[in-house]
Amino acid sequence: MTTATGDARRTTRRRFEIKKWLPILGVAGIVLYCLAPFYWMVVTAFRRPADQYDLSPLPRTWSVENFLAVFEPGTGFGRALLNSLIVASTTTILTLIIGTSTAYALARLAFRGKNLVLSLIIATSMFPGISLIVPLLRLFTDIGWINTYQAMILPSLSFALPLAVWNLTMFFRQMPQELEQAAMVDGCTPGQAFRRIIVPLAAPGMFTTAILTFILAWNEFIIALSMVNEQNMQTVTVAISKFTGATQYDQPFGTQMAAGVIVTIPLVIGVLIFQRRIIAGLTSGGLK
Amino acid sequence: MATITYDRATRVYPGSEHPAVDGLDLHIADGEFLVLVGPSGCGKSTSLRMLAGLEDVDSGAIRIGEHDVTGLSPKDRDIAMVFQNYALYPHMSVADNMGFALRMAKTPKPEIEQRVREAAKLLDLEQYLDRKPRALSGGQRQRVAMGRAIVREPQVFLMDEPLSNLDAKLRVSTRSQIAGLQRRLGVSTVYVTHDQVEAMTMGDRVAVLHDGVLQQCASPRELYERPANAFVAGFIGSPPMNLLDCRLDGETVRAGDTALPVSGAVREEAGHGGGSVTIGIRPEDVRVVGPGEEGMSATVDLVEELGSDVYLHCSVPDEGYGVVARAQPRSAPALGESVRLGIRPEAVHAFSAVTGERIAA
Amino acid sequence: MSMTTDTPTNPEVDSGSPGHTPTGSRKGRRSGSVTGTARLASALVSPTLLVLAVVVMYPIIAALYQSLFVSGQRLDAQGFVVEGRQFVGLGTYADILFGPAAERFWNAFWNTTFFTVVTVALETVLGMAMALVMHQAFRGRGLVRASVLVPWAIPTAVSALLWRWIFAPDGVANAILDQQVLWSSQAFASKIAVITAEVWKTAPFVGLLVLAGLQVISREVHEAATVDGASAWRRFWHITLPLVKPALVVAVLFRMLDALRMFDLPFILIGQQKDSVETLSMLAFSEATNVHYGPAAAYATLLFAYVALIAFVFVKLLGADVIGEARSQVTKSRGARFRRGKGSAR
Repeated sequence: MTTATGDARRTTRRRFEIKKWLPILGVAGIVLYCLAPFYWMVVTAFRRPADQYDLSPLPRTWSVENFLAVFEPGTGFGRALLNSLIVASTTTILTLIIGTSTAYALARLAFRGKNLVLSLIIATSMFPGISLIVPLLRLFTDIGWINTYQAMILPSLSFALPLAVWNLTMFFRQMPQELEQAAMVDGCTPGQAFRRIIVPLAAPGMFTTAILTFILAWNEFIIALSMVNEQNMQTVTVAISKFTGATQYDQPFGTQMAAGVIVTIPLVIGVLIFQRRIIAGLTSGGLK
Repeated sequence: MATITYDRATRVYPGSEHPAVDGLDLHIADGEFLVLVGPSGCGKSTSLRMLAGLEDVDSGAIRIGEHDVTGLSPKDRDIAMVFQNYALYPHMSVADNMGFALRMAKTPKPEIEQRVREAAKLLDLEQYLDRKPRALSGGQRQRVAMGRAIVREPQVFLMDEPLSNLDAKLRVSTRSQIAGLQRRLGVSTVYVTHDQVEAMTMGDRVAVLHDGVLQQCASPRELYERPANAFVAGFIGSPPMNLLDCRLDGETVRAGDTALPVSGAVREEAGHGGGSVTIGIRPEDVRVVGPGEEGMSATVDLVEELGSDVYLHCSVPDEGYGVVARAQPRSAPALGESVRLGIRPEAVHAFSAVTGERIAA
Repeated sequence: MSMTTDTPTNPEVDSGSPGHTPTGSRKGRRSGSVTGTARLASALVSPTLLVLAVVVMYPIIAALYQSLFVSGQRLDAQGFVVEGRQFVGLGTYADILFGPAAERFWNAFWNTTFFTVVTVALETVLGMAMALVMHQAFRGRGLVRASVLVPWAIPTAVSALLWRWIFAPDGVANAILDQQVLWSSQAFASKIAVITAEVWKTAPFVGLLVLAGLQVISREVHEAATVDGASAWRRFWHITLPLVKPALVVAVLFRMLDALRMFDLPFILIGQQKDSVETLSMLAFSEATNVHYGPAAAYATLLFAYVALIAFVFVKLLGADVIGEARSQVTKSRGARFRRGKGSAR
């Protein structure tokens, strides 16, 4: 063994050590990137309103005043939460009801123009929301649907339904083709095969799609903003954007951050619990 | 000179107590075709990957020629490897796949093209040069993987079960092609397989591994005729050698209702082993004998018809083992028949019942 | 296609009628006639198509139609006050593209395009980096996965408020930079604020999509490249990047379409009718809330055309495989598209 090779071994070993630390640093970087602003939002929410502009990493004095302010009668926040819940849930349920059979057909049946239909459906989700809203706004104004739930739910279907169909189609595609056939060979009628075999297996996929659709519908802004101008029908995203302080120039950041926390925490918790499903659902399209 | 040396090389996977490869000592001569063989999990692939640089070496060293390559990354070792699943670059054509390494080495383009064409000719791939891997059959992909290795003109070829994904017929024909190719090119080759038939037909020498430990490294004939322990004896040869647990009885050992004469060394070892010794006898050395001849009684449980041979799987009454014997196709006994099995004493192997090691005759 | 099956347990035969299927049952039938399958398929697919026709196709066409009209009170050519709707054909478009409304339109167009190009470029680079890190990391995998979903899960409206707070004159951004930048008012600063907020939220999502693409590449291929002498960078460039391209192209396509439609973020972060950040969506919205339906519809239609064009370019010319065609049973020759890309040594 010459010194040359000895050196080679030494330098490669050093290189190996740096290589070991790089992933951990990278992971730390990503976590910091994702959570730092969120962290700042939480910290701001828990400060006393008077300390709003403090820059300390943790609140000097922890306070829930901001949270109380969020639910003051004037803001209509509680009602907004309810509205969001109704709109998002209804959208999700409708989407699943309408879209599941379509997804199943697209995944399992062979018919001409199948790819065309799928492409068409996905294409419709790419249309700008505002392009749908402008004419619908006119129509809804004429038939008196402004400030109703349906005015928000129906346009939401324009992006929720295609996405759900796409998601579910990808999911159904992954199920082995022989399942129904095996069940029928085992003595099930087609209906039984569907009920006993397909439905239980489809449940996780539908659940995942439901989660994704719900989150998307919950986060929706422009439709809710356009179709509703009365405070008691606003969804939570619109309500938050309209928080004002005492004067026009007073930005009640603390209250806004508290509202943000209230809206976000359930979503974050849901995401943490269902992270595997969500990631599988988000990335299954076209890649598997 | 491209000799290869494993110098007490050891690899322990993190979190595991038992080494995957334990103190491997192997010296491979220049131009030799060495086969690493053994059951799943014996450490053969790990050993190969240690040589490739794809696996860390926890202790010991690995040398290629005079160079200690133990810490070097694969690209600095001047080796070429054929992977089990071929690992062809899916987005590149056959020609690009084969020329990739040369591109990395900044070889001038005309030379790359020439060397690729030569290798393609050698492997009968010329008409596929423009195709992508997904447009090729399994056998063609396998040849491209070989071509990728050949083009590099490296010091060492490494092959990790390259035939395991081919159907049986293709495997047999490709086997001889690879062996012939290696002889022609004269490059030191380390070849991993779990199939002992492959090992025996292809290797200049065969190294048998078990549980991370080298059992024996010798020529195929040596392995077959003088296995170093009971494991090698039972692993090499198809059908496998009969390994019988026999008790010492005075000057002989009892096998069923017959007695086999054994040497003094065997008797001594049997004494250490609590009076037992493992007797090994290959099926072709066990034959059906007439009622008056020396042999053990057995009942035929299964008749395996192989065309040129017939193998009888027999059970021996009162003993816990069965014996496989070879019979003539036309005069083979029937299922359920009682037979007398004669054993050639000169063909008997003896192994310690305690250590499994061969007992020298 | 065979007309009958012989298995006794298979009741539906050559008549091909799915009639006895209970309503709502979503069974697929492998046997049965072609017409039977087609009929079943149309039965199952039509609800969705119907809803989408009502909710999407009708508005798009209606918008196009409405954009040909102008309503409200105006002066007509002779100077009379005219009420109600009047057909102006492409007049509104002319106004928008060349006429009095052009400046605002082209400003919005420029903003939209600028935001799209910059945010998508940044997200792609950042997302790619994140994906590579997540691909290599073993420890902390669960933590990273959860963290990466947080920006995505936060409603854009909330995120916009958060960043408005961060970029407030007395907010934490100015504190860290030790400056007194008026992020919401200064033209270029407000653009930077919007870009920062947008990239923060969506780069991790792009990272997830790219990660999925990375995970499909077999480890052996990387090992083969290492043995072939490729350094880490060259492996990335010659092997990883070409093989992850399909996933990347789909991710970039979706992000571009999202960015072109950008509304929530600049609306809340900066405000309405601010030249520095007004996007095409905001412009259309502004007109709609001012009950200028004709122009609003025109803006909406123009935006739609812009988005459709980009989508077309991506799918047709760059081969974005949105519906997983490459993996489905339909085999096509996509060699032509691949050859046009990078990675070949010719």
